[in-house]
Amino acid sequence: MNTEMVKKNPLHSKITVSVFHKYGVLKIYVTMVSIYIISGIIQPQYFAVDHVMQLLVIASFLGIAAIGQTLVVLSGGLDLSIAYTLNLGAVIMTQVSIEHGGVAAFAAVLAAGIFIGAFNGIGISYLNISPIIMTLAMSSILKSITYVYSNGNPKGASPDWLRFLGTGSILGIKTAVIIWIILSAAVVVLLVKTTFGRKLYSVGTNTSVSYLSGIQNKRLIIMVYILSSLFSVVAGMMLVGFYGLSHLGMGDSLLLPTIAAVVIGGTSILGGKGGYAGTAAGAIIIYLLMSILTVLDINDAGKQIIYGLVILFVLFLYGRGKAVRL
Amino acid sequence: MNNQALLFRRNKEAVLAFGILLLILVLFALNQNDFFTRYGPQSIFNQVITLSIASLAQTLTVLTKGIDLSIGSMIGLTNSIAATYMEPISQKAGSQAAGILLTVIIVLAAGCLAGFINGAIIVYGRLQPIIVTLATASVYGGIALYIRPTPGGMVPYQYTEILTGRIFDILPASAVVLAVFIFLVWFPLRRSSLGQSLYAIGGNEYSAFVSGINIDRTKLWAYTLSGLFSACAGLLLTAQTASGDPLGSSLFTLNSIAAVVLGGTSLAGGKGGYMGAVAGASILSLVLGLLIFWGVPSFYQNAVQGVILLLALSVGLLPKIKIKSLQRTG
Repeated sequence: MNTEMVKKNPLHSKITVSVFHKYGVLKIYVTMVSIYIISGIIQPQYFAVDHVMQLLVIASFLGIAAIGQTLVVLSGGLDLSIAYTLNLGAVIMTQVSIEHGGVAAFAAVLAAGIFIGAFNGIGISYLNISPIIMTLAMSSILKSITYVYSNGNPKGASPDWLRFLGTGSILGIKTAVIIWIILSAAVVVLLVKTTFGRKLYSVGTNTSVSYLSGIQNKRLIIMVYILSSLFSVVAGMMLVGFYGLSHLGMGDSLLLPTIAAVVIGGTSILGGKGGYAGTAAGAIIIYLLMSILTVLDINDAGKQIIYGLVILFVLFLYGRGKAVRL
Repeated sequence: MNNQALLFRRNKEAVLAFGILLLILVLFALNQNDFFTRYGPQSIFNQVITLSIASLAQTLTVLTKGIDLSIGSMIGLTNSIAATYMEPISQKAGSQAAGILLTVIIVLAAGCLAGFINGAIIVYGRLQPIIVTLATASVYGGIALYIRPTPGGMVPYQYTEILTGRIFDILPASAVVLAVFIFLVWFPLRRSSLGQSLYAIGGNEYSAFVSGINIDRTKLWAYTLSGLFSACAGLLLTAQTASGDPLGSSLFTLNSIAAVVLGGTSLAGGKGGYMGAVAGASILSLVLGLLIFWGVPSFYQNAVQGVILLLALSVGLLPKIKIKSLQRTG
């Protein structure tokens, strides 16, 4: 990048640089490949194409849910309602589809996603409730709604087309992975090439400056949370396609990993820095690690401990802040 | 403006929380038959005590503009240690009392250590509290699972009796514990230079630094004390359940944040206090009892807690919105 361009269009160059060089996306991918090679040395079967595909399928659900988390974190917030948004989406999918068919279910799920996100966004932007609290309360409410709506025992099954999206493959590539790639590409373009993306970085970096620059922060924040909920319900639908049914607590094990994936992917938890390319690698790294620990026959206690230590290690690598100085 | 009016204005949200709590207690009095006997207060205080102490842990970190997401895991860890080792240690020590005392000391030391590790990573690693404590929560949860792979274990009957029973057959022990934490821990802490530093850092870290406050040491204290009070909550939980559950305490993390915020402490730091958090914790714990009285299916519990949290926050924020819209037009 030549210096003249940097002077002419600082925002443009800053974002391009931030996505591809400055925040070390390359470093994250090198880490990912190293971990993969280590896993292959421990268990040679892991070099097989089949295993890689299976790993990517498992990672795709976390990856899709983490798209929303990435956008929210970039805006300077946090979405703790992802698990139950995902769960409610999955339950609506199966329960509505047995009575009214798959298309109606699909529409109902998207509508629920938009509604949940709008509610989160309005609470955060207009009522000034802190994102952690707003999405935490929302998560409690959604948990109840999911339990009441399914009466504690979700019924129904995945429509055939969704079953294909969750488990089928096109030209040897699993459809779940293809969908993940398409959504990832879309969100990277959204972040890097559109005004929405630039406004998002700007709000995440400094809310007041962004407001004074004429960006409608509140509207943007609402959009971000709607997108987050939409990606959560899409992840929920993909899980329904994968398992063939929905069950309660489907998303429980995905909430904290979405945050971990975002952070391992080099996005600052303070907002404004990072991108989705890192998060995608973060999601894969998490499952690579889990598969290594499984092969080494480490029990749940050990897995949890190592999982936490790895996140800390990654934070030390590139998450450090500046010291307060005079 | 006189002092009392100022105190009221500063603690508007906490006053609101106490209002809601009063309402819930009145409803309890109407629904619980033995409310006005000596069992009534005992059961009420036993319901609120654990979350109330966990909220003190959360309050300290939130005041510094931080957050501690490992409180639930630290409670689970200390709960597991207490329920697993109290009996063996008692047998080794030869006397029940010595065993209990020794275990309590070990548990509190473990809590301090866990909290200190959180603080040291946050301060010297210069990392964000939210993500550090998320990671250490996983580590502490794993250690708890290692100590106690399945829920179970046991504690001496006397231990349960001391912490959940009644003193002189009238005063609930939990009430005494809560009073100790409010009057002998929180108030002195609030007035100490450490307490003032906590508020100063939360208000504006840079100004606090320029004013000569040792930020690193204050934060280290905040997280270490958070670990210590989590261990206290773990000990109380052990007395109540008389067993250990490595992962069953995870709800305390988010509920403690909800309690703190419900009590008027701002997640932006530097504003609020423990009294409001006690009210918040009591509301969140007691409302569940109320729902059981009314025969509401347990499915609705989470929604009721969430709605109370949102409503309380929205009411507290209304005046601010008015001021903001005035500023914008004027």
